[in-house]
Amino acid sequence: MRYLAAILILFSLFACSLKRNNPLDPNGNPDIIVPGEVSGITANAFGTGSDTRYVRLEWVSNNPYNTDGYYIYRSLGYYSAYAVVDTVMHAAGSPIQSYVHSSASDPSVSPGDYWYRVSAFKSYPAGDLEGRNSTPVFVRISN
Amino acid sequence: MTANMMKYTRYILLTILMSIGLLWAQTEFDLKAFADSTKYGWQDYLQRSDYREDLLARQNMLQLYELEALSVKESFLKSAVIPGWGQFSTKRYTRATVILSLELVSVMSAIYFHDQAMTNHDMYESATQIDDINHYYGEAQTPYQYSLMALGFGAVVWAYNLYDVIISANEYNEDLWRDIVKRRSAAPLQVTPDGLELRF
Repeated sequence: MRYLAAILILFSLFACSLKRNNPLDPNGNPDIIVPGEVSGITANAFGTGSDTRYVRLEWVSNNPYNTDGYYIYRSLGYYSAYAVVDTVMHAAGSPIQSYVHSSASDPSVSPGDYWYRVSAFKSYPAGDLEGRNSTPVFVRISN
Repeated sequence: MTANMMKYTRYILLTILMSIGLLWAQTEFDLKAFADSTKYGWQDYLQRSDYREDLLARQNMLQLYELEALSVKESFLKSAVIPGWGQFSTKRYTRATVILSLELVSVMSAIYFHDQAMTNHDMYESATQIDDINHYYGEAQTPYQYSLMALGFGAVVWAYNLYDVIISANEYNEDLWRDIVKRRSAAPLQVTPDGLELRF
């Protein structure tokens, strides 16, 4: 029984690992740079009482070395599913990045409570590698 | 001396030697001793007949054994193809069931975990978000290692099964021989070297 256990342990120790063959996996590809996490997000709602309502998001610029653009996500709850509402390219030379989510271009921007979050991405020939998601921020769009 | 003369001399010498050898052999052959039926311990014709009967009975036992005995090689091959099959042939049903069950469980576990690992690995391959990439790789790696462990356990069981079937087949053949001897000795009418024996 002892020998059997030893064989099993040895087998598991020397067990082969699965291939890290995702071309965007930094562990398998040393050339891949992971985008930094987006921080300092603020969200403000504007246009109360008017036909056009919009939410203005601002966050601290990422290092352009690891970021080509940002994904903007929105959800109805903190832990609910987030959907991409837009993609914005990194504005070079600016310490603050911003995005306006307006009802003029997206009718879903209507009165209610929303959670926004932002993540950075970097483009590679195999596709865009998305970094870690930021902490969601709350915004209320009033009537 | 010519070559022909040498050849003839050789033939003559060979013929003389063979003739002497035959004569000597003829004088050594003891016909009386050859025909003596008591030299094997038989005192009369009836005893000789009893011995013959006993010999025939032993031959029958051997034939019976050869008919019913299991080939170790065949049992080994059976168990190599399906673990436990050889043990079933040797009528070691508990061992066979345990081996077959363990083998089935380990192979099925290996397939199940491998399938799970591959599903997660496919998701890892298509993931583009760094957290998803790390998450799905971890989710794929754990069941993959389980599948290898199950496969390793299956290999150990399979190897043990091959070792066990050799022992089982030999045990079966030993039991069979003992059984044949027992069956023969249990028969009421026995032919023994000392004559007929009737048991009640």
